[in-house]
Amino acid sequence: MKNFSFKRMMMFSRLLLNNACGYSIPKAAGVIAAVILFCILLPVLTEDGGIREMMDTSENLLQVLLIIPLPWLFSAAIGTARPVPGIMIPATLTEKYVSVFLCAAAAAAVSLCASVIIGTVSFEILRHFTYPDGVQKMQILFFRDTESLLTDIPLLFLTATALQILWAALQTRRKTGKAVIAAAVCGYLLLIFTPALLMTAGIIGQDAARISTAVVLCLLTVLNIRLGYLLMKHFEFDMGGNE
Amino acid sequence: MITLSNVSYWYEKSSAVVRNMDFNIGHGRIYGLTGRNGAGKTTLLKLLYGEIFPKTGKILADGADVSGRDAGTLGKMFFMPAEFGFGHLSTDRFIGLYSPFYASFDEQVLKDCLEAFGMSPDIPDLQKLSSGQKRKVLLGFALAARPDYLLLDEPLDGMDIPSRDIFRKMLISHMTDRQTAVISTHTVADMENLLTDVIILRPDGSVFASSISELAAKYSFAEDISAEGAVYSEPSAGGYRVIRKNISGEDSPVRMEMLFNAVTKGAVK
Repeated sequence: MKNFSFKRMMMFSRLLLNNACGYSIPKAAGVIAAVILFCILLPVLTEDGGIREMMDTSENLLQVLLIIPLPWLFSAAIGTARPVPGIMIPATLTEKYVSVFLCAAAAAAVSLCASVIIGTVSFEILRHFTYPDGVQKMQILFFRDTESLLTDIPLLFLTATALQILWAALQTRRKTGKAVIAAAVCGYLLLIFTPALLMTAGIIGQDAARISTAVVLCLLTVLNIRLGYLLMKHFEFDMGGNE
Repeated sequence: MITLSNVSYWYEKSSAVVRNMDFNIGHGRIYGLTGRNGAGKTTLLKLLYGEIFPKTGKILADGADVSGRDAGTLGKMFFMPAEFGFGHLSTDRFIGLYSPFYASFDEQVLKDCLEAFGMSPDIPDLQKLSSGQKRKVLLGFALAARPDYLLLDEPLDGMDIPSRDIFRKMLISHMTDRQTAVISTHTVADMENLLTDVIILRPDGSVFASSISELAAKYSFAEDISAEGAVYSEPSAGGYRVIRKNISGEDSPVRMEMLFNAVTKGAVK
């Protein structure tokens, strides 16, 4: 039996998405749409600035919606390995882990599309009321500045993988110890900010700091992916009397 | 074949639930797994399934270590737990999502089982069923999945008397020659005519495993006014129920409850 079968991974992905949505995709779509509307309405109701500032805040809030699927599906995958408690789905760990990323990417893409459509329409309606003379041009949410979006995607991915690890680590806090987890989080953050701290201290230049930060972020992303796999293995194999 | 070699398992090291087990589970057999409450029936089924790992020893299913939980081995097995719940989904949805993982899944078998149990094949919400009905659905699914090894934990619990009869009929009519079932129960009498083998867990964690044909050839089970020369005896209304060495060579039906008592009390080794 192959360690990785694309067909089995796709079957597991379908199962995972259904399970994570409580077997009701329309209901889940409704919840996502409601969250998107909330993220759009909140700055409209609270911000004093113009439409551009409101869109900035909305985009920041909606980015959370894009990173949530990964830790959420990761937690669901561990449970979804069992269609009813006690039964294990015949799929390998690698297939399950890859399907978590595939489903998270699909969920994030759907959320992004829905955010763009709902956000752009909402802000366009608002613009008509605020600037009826049409002085300001129509702006598409998340695509006002393509360069910024492209920079944000790797950072969002890193954050999502870090949240996945954090969720898994918190589940094992009794065994690992809260102090160890807190120390690991501090070390993690220190690693990210070391290049910036070195630059502030005048030890390295701005370009070197920028490159070092990029390298650190790349390494941390790879580390998160690997650590996520090991933690999933731990949840699958080392729990429930197998410690 | 599932091979258990020197398998022990404990929740607390001082008291092993399963101790130094060595036996094989062959193809095309129906095993009755029994023991007192807390003797380790569920634990043994979970060990066979690879849900929990032996503290010592190894369990191999057709040569593969079940603890590895590779997709091939998991696809050959189906474990029906004693207690479970479905999500809020219909029968069609459940079949659509889970059956593709079992290459030989036969939907007709599931429909036959549900019809035999007097249930509609179109159930809108499986979670709303009673525990007995859930068991019937999962049993039908397990048979339809056609795994090599069916591990059923107390499948008769919550089933009414007519359903127990249907359960036996479904098992006989839908199991193929290569399939094996290990059925844990504490109402062994319900399955007397169904079993080809018996596994009895003793209170000390050791196991008694034998085929029914071997037992019938070795022992005779009868009611007698005297318990003289019996390997095991217990009082009954007409005298004694006795187990004697079979010296006549004639097979007598194996009485499971008597055998269970004899094994757990150490009279039959």
